[in-house]
Amino acid sequence: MSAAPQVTLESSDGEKFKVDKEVAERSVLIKNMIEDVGESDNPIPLPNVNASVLKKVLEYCEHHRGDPLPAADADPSNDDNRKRATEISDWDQKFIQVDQEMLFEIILAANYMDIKPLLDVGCKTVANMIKGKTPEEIRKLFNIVNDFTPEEEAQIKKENEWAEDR
Amino acid sequence: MSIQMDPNDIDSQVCSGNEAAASGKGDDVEEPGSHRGYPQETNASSQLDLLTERESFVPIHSLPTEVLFRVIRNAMLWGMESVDEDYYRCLVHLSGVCSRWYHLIRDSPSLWTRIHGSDSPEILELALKRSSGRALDIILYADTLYKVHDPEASDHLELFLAALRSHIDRWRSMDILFPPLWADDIITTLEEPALKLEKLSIWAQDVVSSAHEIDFFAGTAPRLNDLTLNGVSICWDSEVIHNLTALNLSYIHFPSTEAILHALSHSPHLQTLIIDRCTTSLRTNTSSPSIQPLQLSVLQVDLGSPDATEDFLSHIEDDRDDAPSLLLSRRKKTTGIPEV
Repeated sequence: MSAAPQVTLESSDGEKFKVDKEVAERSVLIKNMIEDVGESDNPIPLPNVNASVLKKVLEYCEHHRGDPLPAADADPSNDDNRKRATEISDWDQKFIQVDQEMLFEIILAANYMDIKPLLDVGCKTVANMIKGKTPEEIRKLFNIVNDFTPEEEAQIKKENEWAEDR
Repeated sequence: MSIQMDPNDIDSQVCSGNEAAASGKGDDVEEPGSHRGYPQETNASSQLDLLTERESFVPIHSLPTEVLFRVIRNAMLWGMESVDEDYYRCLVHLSGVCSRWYHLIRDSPSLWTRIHGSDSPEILELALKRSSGRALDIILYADTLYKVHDPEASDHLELFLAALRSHIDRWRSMDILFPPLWADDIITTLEEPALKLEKLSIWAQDVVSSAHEIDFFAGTAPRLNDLTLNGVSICWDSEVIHNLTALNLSYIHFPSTEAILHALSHSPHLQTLIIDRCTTSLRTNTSSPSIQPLQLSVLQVDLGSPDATEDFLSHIEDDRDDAPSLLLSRRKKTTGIPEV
């Protein structure tokens, strides 16, 4: 039996990763690059992803190598889609238990490499962190600066009075 | 301290968090990045280090707009699961985080397409405006929202329905539960063609059996594929039911079993058919049609008596091995052939 075809990926900091083509092709970006360039021994450069993040992304791709490829964005108004849109599998939950910096690095890598299911897991995880928190708590959680001018703040407050008086 | 920026310049917004961190602005929150050992005082040589460090630190502001939108949309989907009536309050709270979030939320029409009966006129107006022509998902549970005999409640309902009527061409889904007192107002709202409507659920409260047939949407809702009618009947020759994949009927009195069979014969894509606690005046006769719903996978029928139910089922022709279990059981009984 012949070995599965492999490709080499090169991270932004020059580390090379040899992985099964099937695993690498969970990334639409890589899949398209392979289709465009054809089979080659040259490493595929990923200038926006460093080694530690790429390693993590490939761990995800390896685990999900046999999964069906995702369809286009589903309509969240549909109840089933809505349920799917808020669910994270147990394995994915454990996988994404990383510090905040790595979490955002993974999301950015998934977006750049076009791995929609991983992007979804990342976005759902951040959404879950936001859930039920006040704006101030969200700012603290993500180190976001309240950059509204006092005038803007007053205007927004006025605009949204209805949300406060319930 | 606050930061001035161009609200239309997304790029400037993307780095606002980092810039604030580096400049020491934002006194009211924890210093961004301070826990990562950023130098508090910088000189020329250390500025490059600071830049490098800043680039390697990836805060939420570095997410592209479309990714941040995904995050917010997901957060709102969770909100929708729990309390629909608080949806816009949650959304407005999120928009108060910073100017980037504010503008992203304000300018994302798909976040504003939920219309709930508890929405005040101000919210309703805002949502209809900010949803910017997108298809609307409407929920109106009148029983829990209003005190039925309160004149203010009637006024609110009237305003709400009037506002919705002027956007009927945008309705995508509609879920309505109403008390008998408001039946006329609600039904009147559903008289004009609804060209984008895909899903409709109507629940009339306290109705044991309804025979009054309503000509929904003047027979024109070409995208409607999922219809639930509880205590509300429909004109059974209406084209509204021709493209359905799911039909759920309860507490309805049919003029005859033949009428419902005729209606279903025009719904070849039906996958789910539930007829629950319904009744019928007339049984079928020799000229009554049989139906072949070849995509049907879920079937429940209760027409008030075993005979009426059996009369209806006997007019469904389905010899597939994966026919709905109700048909397989019936086949087993009538032919003695075991279920597959």
